Amino acid sequence: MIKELEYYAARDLKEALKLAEQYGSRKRFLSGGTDVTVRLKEGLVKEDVIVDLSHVAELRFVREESGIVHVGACATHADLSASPILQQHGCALALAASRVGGPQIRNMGTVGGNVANASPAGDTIPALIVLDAVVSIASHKGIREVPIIDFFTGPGRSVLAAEELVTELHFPATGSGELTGFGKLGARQAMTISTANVAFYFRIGDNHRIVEARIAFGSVAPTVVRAHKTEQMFCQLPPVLSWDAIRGAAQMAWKEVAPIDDLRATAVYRKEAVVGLLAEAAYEALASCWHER
Amino acid sequence: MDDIHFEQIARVDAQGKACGTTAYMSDLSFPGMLYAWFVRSKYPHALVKSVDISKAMALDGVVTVLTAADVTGFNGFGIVNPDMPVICGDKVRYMGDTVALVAATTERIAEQAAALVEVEYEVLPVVDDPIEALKPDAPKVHDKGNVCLHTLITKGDVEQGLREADVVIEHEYRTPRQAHTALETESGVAVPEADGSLSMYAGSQYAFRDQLQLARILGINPRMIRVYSNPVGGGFGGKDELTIQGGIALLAMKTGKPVKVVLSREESLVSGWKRHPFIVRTRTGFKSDGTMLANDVTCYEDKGAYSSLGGPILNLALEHASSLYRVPNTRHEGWAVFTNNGICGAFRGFGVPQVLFALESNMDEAAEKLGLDPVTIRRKNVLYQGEVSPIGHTLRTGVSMDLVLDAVEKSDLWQHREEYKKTDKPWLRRGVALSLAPQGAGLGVGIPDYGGAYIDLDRDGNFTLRIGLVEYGQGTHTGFTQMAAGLLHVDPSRVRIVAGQTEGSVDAGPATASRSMYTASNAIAAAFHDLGVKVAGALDAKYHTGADAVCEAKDGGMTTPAGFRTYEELAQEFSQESPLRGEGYFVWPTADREIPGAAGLPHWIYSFAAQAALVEVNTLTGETHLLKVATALDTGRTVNLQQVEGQIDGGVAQGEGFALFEDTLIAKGQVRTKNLSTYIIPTVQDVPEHEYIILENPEGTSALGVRGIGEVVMVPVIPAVALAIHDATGVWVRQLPATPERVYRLLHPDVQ
Repeated sequence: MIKELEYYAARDLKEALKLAEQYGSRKRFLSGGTDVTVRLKEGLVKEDVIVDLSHVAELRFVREESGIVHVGACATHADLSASPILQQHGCALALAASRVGGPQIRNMGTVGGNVANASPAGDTIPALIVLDAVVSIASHKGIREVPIIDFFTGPGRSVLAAEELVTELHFPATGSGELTGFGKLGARQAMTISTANVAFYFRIGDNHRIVEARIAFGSVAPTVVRAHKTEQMFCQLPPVLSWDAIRGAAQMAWKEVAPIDDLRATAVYRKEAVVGLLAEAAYEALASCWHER
Repeated sequence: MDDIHFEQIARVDAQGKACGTTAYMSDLSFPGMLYAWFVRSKYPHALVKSVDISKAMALDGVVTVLTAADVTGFNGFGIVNPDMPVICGDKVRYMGDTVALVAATTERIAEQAAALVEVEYEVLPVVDDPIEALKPDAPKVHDKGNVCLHTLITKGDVEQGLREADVVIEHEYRTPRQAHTALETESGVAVPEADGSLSMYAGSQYAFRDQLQLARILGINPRMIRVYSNPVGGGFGGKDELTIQGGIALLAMKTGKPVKVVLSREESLVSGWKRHPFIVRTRTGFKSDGTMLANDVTCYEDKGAYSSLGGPILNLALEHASSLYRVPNTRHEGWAVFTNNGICGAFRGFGVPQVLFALESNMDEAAEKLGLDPVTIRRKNVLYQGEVSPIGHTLRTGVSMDLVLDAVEKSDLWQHREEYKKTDKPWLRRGVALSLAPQGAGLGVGIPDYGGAYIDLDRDGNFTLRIGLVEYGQGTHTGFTQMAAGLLHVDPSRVRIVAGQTEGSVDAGPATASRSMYTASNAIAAAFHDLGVKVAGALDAKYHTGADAVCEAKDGGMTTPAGFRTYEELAQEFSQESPLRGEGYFVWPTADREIPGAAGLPHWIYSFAAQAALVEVNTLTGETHLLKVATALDTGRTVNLQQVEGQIDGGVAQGEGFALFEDTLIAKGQVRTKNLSTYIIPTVQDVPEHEYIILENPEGTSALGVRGIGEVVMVPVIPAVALAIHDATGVWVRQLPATPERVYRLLHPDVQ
């Protein structure tokens, strides 16, 4: 049942922060509204004040400055998917954003909302984690920075305080010798919540080996998780395109996830499927620099 | 009629629908209109001990709250057996059952009031499996027990046939509870008129039957009810039976105000009609050369809580359980069993997809065991006109099983399947398989299957075609327009249609059972003929040109005994007071005798299609993508190719949904897939590329040679997808939908 709400459309960041200070835990931020409106309809929004951020133009940007990519919280998934900066300097994030929902959802939903919503199935989150993103958080008191890996505390929960707002995400721009990618498993090709998802970052050394790997899985634990043991396995791979070897390395993922049964899939299947999801996405990416012997 | 040329015109309703100006019944508003809310059951199975409406009535803005005692006529509806209460008085049998009805000044107040209705229940144990429900100690959904219908049809000696077989394929198959997911949910407005009558505006598939059912519910003369049911925002069978009409009719009559309801998607998915899930147990015997010897089939149909069309659906499934293959020994048995799993009713295909998934799978497995290819084994067994069907009736009308099979074999997809199956990714496997299906059209023997149409020559020399059959997306009104215009020799723009109204259009039976185009072809042709008679009669009355003179349509007019007259001239002369009206009536030909013990069987006219499917299976995740489908379809005669292809596109998508995605999950009577984020239908990203092969073997009993095609286009694709997964991976799919997890577990049987 839709309930009565107070609604404020913030004109700028300053006003948004003032409203956040004023209403505290009574307020809920709405950016694209693709999650909040669904929850409102289901009666799951306990707050009674909505602060709409969709008019805060200063938070809608993607730019690169001195080797750092800055993504504004109100940049939409469509913005991210189409961003030449991300395609060059943060490919996994563009790919992840392009797999969110369908065109209508991507035109409305924002990366800040995806992060602040803190769903374990959020598609941009694994990508931001492997890109080593930092979350900029603002409040009337000032700005603090939190590495994204420390941002989430549980399903739907994060370190954000009631008066705080995610303003941007920033991460080192990737360049030559760095591969990033994203894979998603859902019930269909589009308009689907991830049954499991994966993002990876590989830095290829002069010896063609992977010298640094970052891998993150979504929808297979209470929060998105890094897979450090699996990363080590990838760093030990010989620089040869071998399906068996890549799949073998991905197999370690099985030990790093703790999924549950839900309507979308069983825990057992999720554990099996994330291995395949990583192997497939990594093989496709590594095929660009490794060759079969 | 061979001289009639059908121009490939755009849909007559295209502009309104593309621009959003078409007013569906759910778009209508009336002054002083109230909003209804259906108070649904809290339990899937319970006795209703008391209903207290006092708090709800006290809420500001609430106009009335009705309980079972307020039903003025008979408190039940159902096309075959009216066993579904409009408002439950003593018992609820599924989560969508209505225990009270609210009318209020706003939708929000109505919803709030619904929450204030206090119902005391005595919870009963839930029965949620049709086989369990058949056991003598199972909880009873209805007092008479859980068997809605039991049918047994036998021919020859099935046990002897199985003994003589070189290969017997024995398996159990399971099929999903598919939801229609029409864009327009169950909705409408009931408007009480000053004279005490009622106008019902609600999209549905048969206004004239709705009128009778509503009259029974209200306890008033059917003439006091007018139903407007066209256009419909999607049907697929889900609006064949009544849905919300009974409830809003009662509220409107009680309050004297128009009452509207539009169900939310969630409420629609919980309370609405669904496709019956089937458990199909089969033993199919073949000789070593592939000849079928015997087929033993037992179907358990999960009826859900109320009868609706579950009996006829079971029987149509049993009619098709051995397809139209030459099987000398058959035993087709079926049980339609009541459970607390929602409600099931008519759905495109009407039982046929369920049984052909089983049979066609057995066919491919036998072929593999016997070293035959899928085309050869089918070709060896297909029946021809004049032969005896597996349920014992002689096939007297055209049979195109061999023709659609030959055509799909010649498709690009089948011819080049080895190339299509190539993939360079180590984790992907591609497969191609084919299947074919007949689909009985019309209502069957013993059920009067009638169609009427009027063609009015209006004052301005244009025409109004009055016919009951509604447009719910199929494109039939474009087809009707073209057929009428073709017969009249006028441009289609000169024919307008009035349909789906108990006043202003003519009863032509339900828009179901692949019967609209065929029925209309004969009813319109009869009306056209009668218009010629009327013109001759009018001329004779004025000019004494002879009562038996024949008028023929030609170039925008008619050649008459008084010379050529344009329609404008005829209208000027004879249609100024009231239109000259051609009336056409037609009754479907049916079999001369019924199959003993199987109401409605056999059917007389069939549709035919064969489909080949290319799938790609991700062996790492079990994800299956349907990449390409070739459809060979016999239209009899194509009236509008774009609409035929549209039906194929939509049918394939709906078949794909059945095969790969769609299932209403119900646990202990509770629906778990309540919206379109959990009830998964294919999106445009999932639907395949199409190859169309259209055959035109005129159906001799249609004045214009047409056959119905709306259902059969979704049937063969279902087994074809399942069998293509086998071709790709080697595993046999016995339960649909083949979700990623289900396929993954078939590929990795060691995973617990």
